[in-house]
Amino acid sequence: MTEIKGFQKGEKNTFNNDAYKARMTAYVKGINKYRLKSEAEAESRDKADRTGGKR
Amino acid sequence: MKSFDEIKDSIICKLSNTENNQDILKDRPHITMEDISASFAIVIGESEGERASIPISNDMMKDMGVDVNILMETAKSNMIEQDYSFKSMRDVLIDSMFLEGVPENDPMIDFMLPPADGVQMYVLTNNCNINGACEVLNTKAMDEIADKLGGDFVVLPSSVHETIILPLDENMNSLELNSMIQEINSSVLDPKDKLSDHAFQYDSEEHELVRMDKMQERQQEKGEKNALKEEVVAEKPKKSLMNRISDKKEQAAKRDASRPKPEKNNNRDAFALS
Repeated sequence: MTEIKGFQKGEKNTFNNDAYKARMTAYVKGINKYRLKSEAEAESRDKADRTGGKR
Repeated sequence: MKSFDEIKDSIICKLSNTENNQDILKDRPHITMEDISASFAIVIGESEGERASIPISNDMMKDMGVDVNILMETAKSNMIEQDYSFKSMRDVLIDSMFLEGVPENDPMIDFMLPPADGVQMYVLTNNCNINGACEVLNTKAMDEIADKLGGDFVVLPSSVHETIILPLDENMNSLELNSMIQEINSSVLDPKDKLSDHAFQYDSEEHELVRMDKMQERQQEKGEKNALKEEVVAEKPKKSLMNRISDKKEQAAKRDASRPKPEKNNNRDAFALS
């Protein structure tokens, strides 16, 4: 058996619901914005393809 | 007085941002992949929303007579034994915002929550929501998610406590995702909770987590390797054994010459999960 040095030094972590909500809400907004932009770009590409390269 | 055998079942892995935790990581055994480091701790108590643990220092690791790879393997195998949490973002927000149930006929609900239909986003964490980003190293979880989502998927490092999972879409732009992550990291997150500034992709074939902006390069390399293999197989019947040995030697010498020399530290390009 070996004594493990520093075994007494512990740390406690607590779940922070407010910080969690803030992160999740920021990601929902960010991803929605990103998707809208991607869709608009894809639509613009399709349109350019249909009109022979003119956007 | 504790031996490694006595505490091995309580060893967990914690992921953190390398740059923000340089001082702490100096004294702790860790494995680095891109801007993320995996360090280790011994859980001494857990209740709802709380977890007490002892970080494993370099001295402790030495006293236990193990190395960083054994710590990683132990933490990964403990993780597989335990439950993980993989929920849709909508369910996660309902759980955290409406502790007493979702109010009916409230027009604000649709505004606040992602839609129940269409392409979903998911949240992956552990069963206590604390330091749960490490679940990306859980082979069982990642493979089950790949099965559910139909192959490779995107991992957004939202914090050290959880990651956000998106089904992979061929039009996804890693640079734009990176810029969204960086904006949220700098405006919403406490620096101690920040995990990474980059979007990652789970390569379900190789069981590895790779930075999304490096994935294209990696797929190109894979394609070249496969082409080389096919070439060797096609040449096989035509050549004598001596010729084949000589060809192999030449190919190996070429590969060695072009391959960058491995660094003698624990930095990795991808977290291999299996």
